[in-house]
Amino acid sequence: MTDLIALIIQFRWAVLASVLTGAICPLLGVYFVMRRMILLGIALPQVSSAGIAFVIMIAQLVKLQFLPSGESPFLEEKVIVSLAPFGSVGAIFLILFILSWLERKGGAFTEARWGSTYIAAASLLIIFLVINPYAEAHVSTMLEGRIITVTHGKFWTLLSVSIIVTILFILFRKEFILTSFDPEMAASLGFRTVRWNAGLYILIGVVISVGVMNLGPLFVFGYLLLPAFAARPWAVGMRQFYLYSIVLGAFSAFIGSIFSFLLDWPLAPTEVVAAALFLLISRIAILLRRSLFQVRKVTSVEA
Amino acid sequence: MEIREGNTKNNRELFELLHLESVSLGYEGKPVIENVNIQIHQGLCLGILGPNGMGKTTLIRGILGILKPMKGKIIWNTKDNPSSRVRIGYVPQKEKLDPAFPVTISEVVQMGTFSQRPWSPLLRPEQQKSAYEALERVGMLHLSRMLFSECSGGQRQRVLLARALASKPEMLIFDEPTTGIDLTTRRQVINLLLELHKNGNITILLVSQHFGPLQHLFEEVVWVQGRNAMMGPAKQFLSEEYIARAFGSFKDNKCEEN
Repeated sequence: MTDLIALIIQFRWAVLASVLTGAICPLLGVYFVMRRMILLGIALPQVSSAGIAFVIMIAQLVKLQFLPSGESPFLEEKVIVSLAPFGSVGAIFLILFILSWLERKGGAFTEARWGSTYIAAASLLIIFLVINPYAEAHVSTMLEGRIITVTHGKFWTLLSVSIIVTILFILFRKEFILTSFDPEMAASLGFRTVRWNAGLYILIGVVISVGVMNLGPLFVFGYLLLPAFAARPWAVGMRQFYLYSIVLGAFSAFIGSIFSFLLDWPLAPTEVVAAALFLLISRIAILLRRSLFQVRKVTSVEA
Repeated sequence: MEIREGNTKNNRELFELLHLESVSLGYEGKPVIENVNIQIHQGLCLGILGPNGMGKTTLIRGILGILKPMKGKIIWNTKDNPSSRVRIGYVPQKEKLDPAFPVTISEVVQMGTFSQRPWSPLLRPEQQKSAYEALERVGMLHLSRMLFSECSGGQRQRVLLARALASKPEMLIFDEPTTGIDLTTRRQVINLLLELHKNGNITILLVSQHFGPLQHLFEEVVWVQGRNAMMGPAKQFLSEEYIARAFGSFKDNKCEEN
């Protein structure tokens, strides 16, 4: 027990970053679940990863081109860390722009477009890492989500972004709900649905970018989907939906990190498994509740 | 006050609220309805009728501002301030809304008041009062904490009507008001529409494939068929001879009359 507490204190920034991202991802994840955009939720973290690998590859190629003899060909860590946000944010916004342009042009197969985006981004990521073997170790660490490497500086960045996103989200909550639930009604009331959708996508893009850079795509996608999906059947009203998703996200990230230290398992996958277990518990509890309700109904009819 | 047409109701001049001037509407460059010329006057109840897939919903999407006209102009006339918007209460077909959203009845109705205070995360007491009164009016106040996804078809219809009323509309657009609901709810909805029409100064647009149960409400009718929309007085347009002449069968269009 003392060892566990010592480990938690030693890696406090990693634990805090997990809990914070575990809370902020479900806030936006409720929209992925409600708007049935789960495939886009897988695609965007992958796009973010490919964007990071791309800018680092370009920087590496430029460095190799002008490398003085005797100098190390490896990019410095601080160069990689400072370039990553440009790759991540740039790639996500470019893809969101292209997807919304295609959406406005009409046509079906929205899910096919999201699926294509995922598979293209995943393939490009592999290609960028093959072209740039010098950065493979660094980039792989970043993309696998070695949360353990989160420093206090990264945590404060994450916290600042989370606070800004949360404030914007609270300010425009009404608009996001209305334009998601009934875009036609929103338009009839004078809300510009395209702009509000763009606003929501920008917030999603920022959270995914920052999340992927610090915790990796697996954690981000896991926490966009699992807590909201687990909370959905228990929520009566949107406030409860947000609240249950956020609490469940933060709690499962914390429980996951404890198990990760206890079992010496990697942090991100353990935290995602913890969230998946809570989803399973939620689904079983819902099934039990329904069965109980059916039994009571039958008993009261018979009586 | 600008009066464009000499239309009257109970011997009073009617204000022209909306004018569609040679409007063509469609999708991806292909028109669904063309060269539509209609004037909608304040306080009247208008039926937008016609067979399925002929452009009724397209016309409504144009009026709601969701679809931009490919040709022509949609002119709104507002009495007080020419630059202000006419408040529209829109009741969509209940099947269009996704049950994945765990919104309560009360939250759905409050959505109707969102435009009264944009840029604010909180609802004012007046907005909450509007939502409360609208729910009371449709007889759903006691179920306000219930999930919208758990409502029956008729309950959903009443909730959506309450949402439209909460927006304090000058124009109410109701898409297929009597489709897929039980007879009791249908009567309730029709009675409520009658009451709104009698008491308020609300312009009502009812979009329907089958006009039977609603026909006594209409004062004017827009027939949408074969890329055209024709407008005229209900008495003339809903006469057996006219429909039989224009569409071949009276019964087909009048069905669902219970």
